[in-house]
Amino acid sequence: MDTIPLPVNIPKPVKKTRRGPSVWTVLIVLFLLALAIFLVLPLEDMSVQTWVPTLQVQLLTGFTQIGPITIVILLGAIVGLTEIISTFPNYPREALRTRWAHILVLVNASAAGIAYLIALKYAKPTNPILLVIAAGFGFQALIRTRFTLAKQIGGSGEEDVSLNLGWLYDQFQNLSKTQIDLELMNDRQSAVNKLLQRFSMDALYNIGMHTVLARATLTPEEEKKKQTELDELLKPKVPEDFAKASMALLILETGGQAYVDFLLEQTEIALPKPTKPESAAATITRLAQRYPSLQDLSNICAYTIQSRSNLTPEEKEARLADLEQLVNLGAPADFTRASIAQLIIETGGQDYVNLLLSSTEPSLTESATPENVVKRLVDTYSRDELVNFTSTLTDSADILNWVKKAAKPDPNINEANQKAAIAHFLVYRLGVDTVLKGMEPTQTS
Amino acid sequence: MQIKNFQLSEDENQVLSVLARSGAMSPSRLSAETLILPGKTLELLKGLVENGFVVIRDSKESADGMLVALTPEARDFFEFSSTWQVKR
Repeated sequence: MDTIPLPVNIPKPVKKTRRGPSVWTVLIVLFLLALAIFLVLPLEDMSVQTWVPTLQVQLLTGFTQIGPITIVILLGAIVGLTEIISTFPNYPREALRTRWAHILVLVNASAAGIAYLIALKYAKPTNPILLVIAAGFGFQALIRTRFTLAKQIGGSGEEDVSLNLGWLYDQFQNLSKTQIDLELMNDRQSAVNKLLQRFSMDALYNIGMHTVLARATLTPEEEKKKQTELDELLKPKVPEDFAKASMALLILETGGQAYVDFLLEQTEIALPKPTKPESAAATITRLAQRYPSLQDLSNICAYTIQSRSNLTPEEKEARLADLEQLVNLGAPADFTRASIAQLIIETGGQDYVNLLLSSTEPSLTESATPENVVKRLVDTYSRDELVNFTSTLTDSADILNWVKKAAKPDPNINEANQKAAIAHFLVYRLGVDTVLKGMEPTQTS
Repeated sequence: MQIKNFQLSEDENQVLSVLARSGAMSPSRLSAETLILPGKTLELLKGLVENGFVVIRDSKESADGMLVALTPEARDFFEFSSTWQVKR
């Protein structure tokens, strides 16, 4: 679709500045390379400090001793990693980042290491490579094995007499799986919520379709199945909230967390950079325009005075008296509003007033998207007013004619739908900026 | 739902082409994009719903409270056909 409806008051994603994994990988590789060079250099033939060849020999001896157990531990860790990846094929990266995934990998690695040490101590001296393989893979297989001692004839297997060596590990594995799933569910919920806040149902449907088609790993059958899921969700009988949540989940499951993060980042609207400080007169004007009601403005002023902690009770009393005098002065309304606005700025400060104005102004995202502008047009104008509004925006006979025809009473359609169509037409033909500019006098009056 | 043999008018062809190109949208936006008047657009859509080309559903986020999209059958047909014209 051409435009994606954007969010209203969505918290910006927190961007963490962290050193990329590639930097650490390069550093580790460089360190290992330097270590390898140091170990293989014929230092005894070189004129170096006497402690250097000694260190080399000690390191070589050390590596010869810890090499096998390191390999065994690595093999155990690989088995644990494989288990997690195969259990959570849709979210492998996210699953591996969870705390319980680390525990599972650690347990597998430790168990393999301990098995190797026990074998080294109690088994007969054997080929070290065989011992490494036996401990690294054999032990892992053993703790996951169930031996059937007596099998029921023609039975389903439930009544077999068996020795399940992996029972304890099964329990631990189930616990880990549940905990990882819970952690993932929290992340998924957060991602789905953001998608729901940011996108309307048509946008979610269209993004879902695009995501399904864009994934190179899906087979044509899988593609078709997911498209059917999306189509089913669009059917009128499916409740809208449920349909939206399911679409968001499908996008997450199909595209992955990184894709969703990318989507959310792409739809962020950059906030304008602060320009030069505004003059006090301009702020007063904005404040007075924002709160045209004298009552509202004087209430805000009174609250501002009361809430300032840097004012003494006497100062507060004096300013409240000033406010009362201003309100009761009987001066022209413009003068009174400007004076109260000035009192608010003097009491609260420029930053406070900026905050006050920004919190009451429509958010940037709310005002800038075509969908939101369409809704505002529909809410602000009647059908006939929209025709008049169009004539203030453009002289184009084509546009005016179309709007006039669209606004004619029609038994096939209600007024709200006519207004929505005209609003879309204006935004589509004239652009968001032109329409918003045309609306300004209405919004501030 | 099966698509019936159906002779599409130029306007219907245009509506379906926009939906195929841009995806789901509100009928009012469809009207604005095709330049077909809103009353006529709704009428066309009702006919297309009856013949299994599109689905219309409620959507509280849309300015006109509705959402329209192609049916899977229509989408499949569009993918395998260079034109929307269906021979009777």
